[in-house]
Amino acid sequence: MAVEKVNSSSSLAEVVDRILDKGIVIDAWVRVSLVGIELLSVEARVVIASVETYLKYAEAVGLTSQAAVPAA
Amino acid sequence: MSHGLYLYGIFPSPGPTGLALEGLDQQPVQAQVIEDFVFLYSEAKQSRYLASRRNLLGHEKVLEKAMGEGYRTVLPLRFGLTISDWQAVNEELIAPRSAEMKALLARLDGYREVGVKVFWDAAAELQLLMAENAPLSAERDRMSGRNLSMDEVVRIGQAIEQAMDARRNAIITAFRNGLSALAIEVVENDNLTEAMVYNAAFLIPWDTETTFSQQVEAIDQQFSDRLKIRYNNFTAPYNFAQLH
Repeated sequence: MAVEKVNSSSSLAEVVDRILDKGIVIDAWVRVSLVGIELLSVEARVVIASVETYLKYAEAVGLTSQAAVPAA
Repeated sequence: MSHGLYLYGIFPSPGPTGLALEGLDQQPVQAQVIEDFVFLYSEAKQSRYLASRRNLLGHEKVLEKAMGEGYRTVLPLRFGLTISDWQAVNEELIAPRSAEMKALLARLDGYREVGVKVFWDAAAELQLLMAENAPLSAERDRMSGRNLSMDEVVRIGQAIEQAMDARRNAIITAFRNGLSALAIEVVENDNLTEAMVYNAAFLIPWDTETTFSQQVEAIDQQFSDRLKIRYNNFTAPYNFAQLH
């Protein structure tokens, strides 16, 4: 559909994917403040448990179960 | 009070010793030659560096500008490294790791990192799947309008998930096979969002980027308008500059 060309310094997501956990590091030299780091989670990792995934797919094609509806 | 020196990256000598670059906190970037290596650094103005947009992009920008000036081979340092003096660099990095760093620089010489992130529209893919997969859509129609047991819902959900996985794997295989052949090394990373299908970095000969770019376009076209691709064709080689 579309190939968007970027370089790392023009895209926060590209630089976050590299600069915080890759490259050369000496642990004793690290002086990073992670305060506010969650603000950078523009592409937050999403993990969904299997059963929830199945229910989500069934619902997405118009199927639901009474048992799948949480009690009020 | 001095906060020491903030480090950006390591180049092979003679390296970028005369560039006028601006680093973090608007500090001038300087070069320190140690043995066969040139370190780009600036005066640190903070005791700890916040992983903010400005700082992260600022660190990468220093390296990209040096690369843009022709100093293409670099070992990028992770964000947020500061030292009190050069003695620490000699003792903690150069002395124990000099040979490994030289080998890594030699391996990267003449090569560049490019990255491909492939995204799909999961909802649209699901609609496509149901339109193309007759047995699954027949099963859905058979179950529709009934009050289903949890087992039934899980069963069809499972079948849909397997079919979606197969579609995802077909995309991954196309990119993996189509692009790996052009690279001397590949690093496949975790997907960062639910919509991301494939996230990989490739180490390719510097002058073959156009060919690689055309191949990315060609693979994209195999999937008509189903995918969105973010292709990073200029970056410091973080994925391939790691000491073990």
